[in-house]
Amino acid sequence: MADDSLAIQTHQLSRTFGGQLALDGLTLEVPEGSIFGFLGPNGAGKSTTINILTGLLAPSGGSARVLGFDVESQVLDIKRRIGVVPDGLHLFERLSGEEHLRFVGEAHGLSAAEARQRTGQLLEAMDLTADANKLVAGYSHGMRKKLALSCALIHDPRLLFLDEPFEGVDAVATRELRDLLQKLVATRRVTVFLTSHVLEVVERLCTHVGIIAKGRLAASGTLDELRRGGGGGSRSLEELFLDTVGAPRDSAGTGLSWLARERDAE
Amino acid sequence: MRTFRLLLWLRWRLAMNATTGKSRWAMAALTTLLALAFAPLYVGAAIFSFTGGSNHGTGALTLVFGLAQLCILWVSLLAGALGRSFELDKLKRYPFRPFEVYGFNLLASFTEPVILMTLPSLVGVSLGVARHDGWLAGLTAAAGALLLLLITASALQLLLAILDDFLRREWMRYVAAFLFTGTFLAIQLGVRGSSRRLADQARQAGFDPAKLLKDIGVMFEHLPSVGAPAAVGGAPVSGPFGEPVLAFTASAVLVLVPLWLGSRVMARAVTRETLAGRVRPRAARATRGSFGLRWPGLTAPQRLLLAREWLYAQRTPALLYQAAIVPLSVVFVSVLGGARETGFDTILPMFIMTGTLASRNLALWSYDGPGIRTLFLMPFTPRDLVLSKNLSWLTSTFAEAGFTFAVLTALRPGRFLPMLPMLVTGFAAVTFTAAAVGTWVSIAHPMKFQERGFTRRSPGGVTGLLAYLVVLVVGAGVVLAVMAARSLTPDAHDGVMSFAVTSLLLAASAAIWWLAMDRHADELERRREKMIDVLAKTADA
Repeated sequence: MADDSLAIQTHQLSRTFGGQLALDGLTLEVPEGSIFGFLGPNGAGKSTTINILTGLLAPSGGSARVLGFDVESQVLDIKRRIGVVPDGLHLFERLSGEEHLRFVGEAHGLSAAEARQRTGQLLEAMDLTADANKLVAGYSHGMRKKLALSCALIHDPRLLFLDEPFEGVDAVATRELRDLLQKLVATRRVTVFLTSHVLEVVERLCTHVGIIAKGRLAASGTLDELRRGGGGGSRSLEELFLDTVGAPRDSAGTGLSWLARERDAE
Repeated sequence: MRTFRLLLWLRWRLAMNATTGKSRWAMAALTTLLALAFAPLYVGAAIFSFTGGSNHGTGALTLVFGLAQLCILWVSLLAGALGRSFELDKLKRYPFRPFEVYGFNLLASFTEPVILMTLPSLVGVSLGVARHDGWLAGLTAAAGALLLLLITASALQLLLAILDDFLRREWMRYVAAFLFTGTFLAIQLGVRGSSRRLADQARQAGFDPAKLLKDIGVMFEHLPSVGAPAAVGGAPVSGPFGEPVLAFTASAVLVLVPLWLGSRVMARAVTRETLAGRVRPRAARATRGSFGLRWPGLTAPQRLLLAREWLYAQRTPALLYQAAIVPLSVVFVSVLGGARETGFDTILPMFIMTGTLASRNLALWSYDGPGIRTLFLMPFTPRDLVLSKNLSWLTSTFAEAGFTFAVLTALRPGRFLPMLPMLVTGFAAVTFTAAAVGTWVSIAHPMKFQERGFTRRSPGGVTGLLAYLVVLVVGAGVVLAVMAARSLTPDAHDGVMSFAVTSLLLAASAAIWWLAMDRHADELERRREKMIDVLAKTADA
């Protein structure tokens, strides 16, 4: 049964790749209007989850609803209402930034005039106006990230999926992005579902956090709820995360005896 | 040696990991079949070479060496079969010398089918020489043959290195295209001019095959790349290479200078900008109105996708080159043919046009690269994606064909005009079939485009070959259907009957293409993950 107050709802979601279980019965609820930080070690199933929720991957089992729509049978309805910044960005290299934005805007149903107007505004806001007519192939990583975010925003989505949005982004841009996301949630009641390894930013930005390990949801809730569940106190998100995924605290160089030895004088 | 051993191991592992046991067996079976199919060619050449060596001893070397080199160069350039085992870009972070990687590529090129197919002739002539002049002479001839292969492969690798270097610079891409086409055409012109001259001489003197072969041999003697290794092999060569020391020095120079120069060019090329930076940022015209093309009968998403395809085609040099090279080749071949009506003047252009159809649309999504993921993330139906790709390819193909037919008709109006309706409809029938086959292959076996040179843009392997054969068989089917219909009709109505048959085939082919669209769309939906996996992958071997 779909719950209207939930932007994302999955039930026993699973996915295998060549017999290997990447998602193992994931049951997750993301409230509408929240900023949900989806954390987990590499290979835990974060990107697989995003790919299923955005209609790129078919689940092997279980069910998922995004904004009330089923991910398998109503995928176009979902795609019209969401914005995605995928890991790796994957933009159209041989379009200019301006063309790219107009293409994405019109593809999401905006009129030509509306798409053009919003393109200009987004380019301005992202400080890309001077490079608007350059091909994306010539953009730096930071510019690509801004363009990908603009593409995700141009059609005023109700739900934003951001896969590693802070990766390779400088401190100033991180701050700007954080402010923008908070503003979007406050004014447009957009739901944000993001993955990140930058736990400090997640701690400051997210209203809710989910931790996935080996394809299973290990913990989920508000930060306070997680702290209460993890023995209370004022533990940092990093400590909570490491305890939840069961990572050893000091494992650097384990088994690498040749690296642990001091170098002989040459 | 250590680097060579490592690279050999790496090549082996990459090849093994890229194929499954089943596909390896299929590939082996198909390779055997192809080897058997081409056997008359290289076995015949080997027998010819052995007989020549047995009868004339080292006197046969120059002719066999020259023909072998010509064959390697001609096929390599015509089929775009130039290949490099390893690109230095992927190895530059490791402590390998460019010279070693280049040298490995040079030796690895000996496994190219065209070189393997010339081996029986070179072994044959060496055995013939051994039979005529003794084993020592045979071994010397074999050493000369090895030098010949080294010189030829070295020249091809140098050309490849220069092309690759040029292609990394925006405007030099066009110089590279010119160089590539020019080299190919120069060889064609050279062969054609020489064969005409020799044929004229033979006609005047009365046809004497032995004399003709001798004349060709003498002609090859003056080519350093043939004369020098032939002389090293013991051939009686007139001119400067008659001196063994000079012949050996010239051979060594012809191997080592391209090797040294090529490795330097390759090393310099990898320090240039990466692929992303290679597309020069240029001012794209800000268009008014909708981004989509104004194309009647299409939905808004389809018009948008088609506009994107159009922009991509304009900004992808390899696509532009592909679009230009076929019409230019056809026109060139026709102009060379002169005004004679031989039957070939219509068959050859049609053969080139249809023969190149399949190889060009077997990787329709390859140019999208990682962008494929963004395409799938957007609210487009799979049918929109398939239809827009097909319309884009068909438009380009029909535009090229339109240009070609127009030029051919202008060149020989009397010959082409009466047949034009039949040729156009027949070609269109094959094109729609090729579109259906190519779309299926592009979805079922997606391939990431390696933006280097002008080569290897089709999936190859079993699927690529089969798709190619299907289009050739359909082309042959159209020809046979027309011939059958003509044989059943009084001569006066041949033209009308041919047109009726090709029109019928066109209608059937277009209907199949249209009906297959939904199946292709379903297939695209089913294979979406595989396509993303292959095309959006950033690291590739």
